[in-house]
Amino acid sequence: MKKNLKIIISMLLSASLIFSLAACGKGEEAKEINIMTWADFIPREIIEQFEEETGIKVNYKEVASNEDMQSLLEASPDQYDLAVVTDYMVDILRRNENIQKLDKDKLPNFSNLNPVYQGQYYDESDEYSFPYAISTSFLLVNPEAVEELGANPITSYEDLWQEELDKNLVVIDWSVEIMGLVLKTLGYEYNETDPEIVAQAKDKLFELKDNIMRFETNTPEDSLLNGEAVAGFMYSNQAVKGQAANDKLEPVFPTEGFPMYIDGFVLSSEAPNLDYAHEFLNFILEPEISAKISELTSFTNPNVAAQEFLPEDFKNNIMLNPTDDIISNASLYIDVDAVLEEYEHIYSEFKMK
Amino acid sequence: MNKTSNRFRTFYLSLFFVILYIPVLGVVLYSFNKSPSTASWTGFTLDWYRDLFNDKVIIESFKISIKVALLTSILSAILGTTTAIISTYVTSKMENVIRGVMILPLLVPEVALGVSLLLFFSTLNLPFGILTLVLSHSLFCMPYVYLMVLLRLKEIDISIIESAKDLGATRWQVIKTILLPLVTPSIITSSLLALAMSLDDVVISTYMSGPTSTTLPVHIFSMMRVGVTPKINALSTLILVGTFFIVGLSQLLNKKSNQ
Repeated sequence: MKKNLKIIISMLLSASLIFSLAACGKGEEAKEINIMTWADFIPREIIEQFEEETGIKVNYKEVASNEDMQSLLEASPDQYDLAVVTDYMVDILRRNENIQKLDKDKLPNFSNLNPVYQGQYYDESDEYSFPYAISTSFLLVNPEAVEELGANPITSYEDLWQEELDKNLVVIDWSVEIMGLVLKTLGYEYNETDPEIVAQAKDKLFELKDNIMRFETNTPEDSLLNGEAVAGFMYSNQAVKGQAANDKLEPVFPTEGFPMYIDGFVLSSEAPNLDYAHEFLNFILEPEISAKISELTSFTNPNVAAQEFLPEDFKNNIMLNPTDDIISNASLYIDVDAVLEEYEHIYSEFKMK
Repeated sequence: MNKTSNRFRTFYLSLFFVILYIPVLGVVLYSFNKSPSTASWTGFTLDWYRDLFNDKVIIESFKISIKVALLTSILSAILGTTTAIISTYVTSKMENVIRGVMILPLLVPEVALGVSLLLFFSTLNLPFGILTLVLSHSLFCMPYVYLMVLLRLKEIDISIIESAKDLGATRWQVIKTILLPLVTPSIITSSLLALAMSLDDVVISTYMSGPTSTTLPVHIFSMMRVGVTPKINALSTLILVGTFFIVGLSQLLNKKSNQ
């Protein structure tokens, strides 16, 4: 028994020794920054160019969702400098004090940003974040095929309810998007909570069921490519892929208005490398870098000074480069939490019909 | 009666395997498709395989996943087997307590486990990376080794152990010469299971990998936002081929050792 006790004690001592040594090894001074976002969201090329030009190593942590980033910033804010999150998450992080204000003195390129994307509800004074990638969702339509079905040309969400479009539509599979679409046709906003209005929307939604061929969030453009649908409601990068494969497909920005998503940079409340982080942010805001990012990622560019550096076909493609006019009809999803449960409920009923 | 039941058995098994593997075959097939979308087949190409080998991030995360998986299966094997052997030497009340504690990591939801481990390791000031990944993966892989080895241990005829004790064997000698050789197949099987579970893990790895070590499944999931190309199909095909190769090899070795 005594011998066993000795063994156990010595094991515990050596284990604690190893732990403390491992902890010691962490405090080295390195020229690096820690960024957290989706894979390939910031192109490899751009990261490598930054590393070459400044000698600062970029640790790119890949995550799958905004909520993952929220948990990580909440539980270990001193491990990360920057994160790129979606609009609603900036609001949550700001309210929970997980992010800190940007030091504008260190960001001379900040004025390059297009004001039409700034001053949003989640950061009205633009002190905590700035837009990095914009995307929208709208309708992708095959006008010839629509005509063949005997339907009127599609210019708005309302047109999707036409009987001739029976079993010829593909839509993104998400309750909030679909409910939002319906509410817009009734003249309301995406996050309507008034029970009467929601009931109205529910009835109208159910009328659309017969027209929908497929619910698909990942590759809806495929349904238009293989002919099983003549029109679809999808995200801008998917629509771009669709049109690239078949130039007969055209984008339609619905007259009622359409959703916009802004992914932006935020700075962790306990970021360990503030100076280098700001250097990186300023680099991203440089016109030529910004233009290259848009070219590589196919996301809409929020940088006015970058416009002249965008390749011609990008500049002229309204799906990739919508004019400020078009954007004025776009809106963000606000306060989805308040309506999510209700909409999910209605949506499940809708799908089972 | 025998003939029909034989034919039914063959039919059922074949149907079962076909249904199980058709989606997998789909993945393999589309890794050779020229078009990046699964809407149509536009031609045969090895481009995606070339893309795969040129993709440094995928290769790097694959290496990290393999490293973590191997270390995890070794650590789980050691800890699981030790615990199983110990629990045969304690009272049955203690054994129940041990079993309860061992199964606990499997019952806790992964996100809860991930966040609490994150806070725990942060307090201990551990560097996040391979170390934390291996520790956390072992946490949920060890129970599997424990359960499988314990099962095998319980099947051992107690008279063998008693006669060894009669002949003067110490506890350690009993373990070394009788128990360990008999549970070795279980250890190997459960270690392979631990390997697979560690390779597969997404949730815990997201929290445990820190700013630098992204594992392969986390990388693939996080690619969903920007879009997945058939590079992933190519990767899956290669992993599939590799797995079949390893399993085939181990079956061959098994056969040889039985001879």
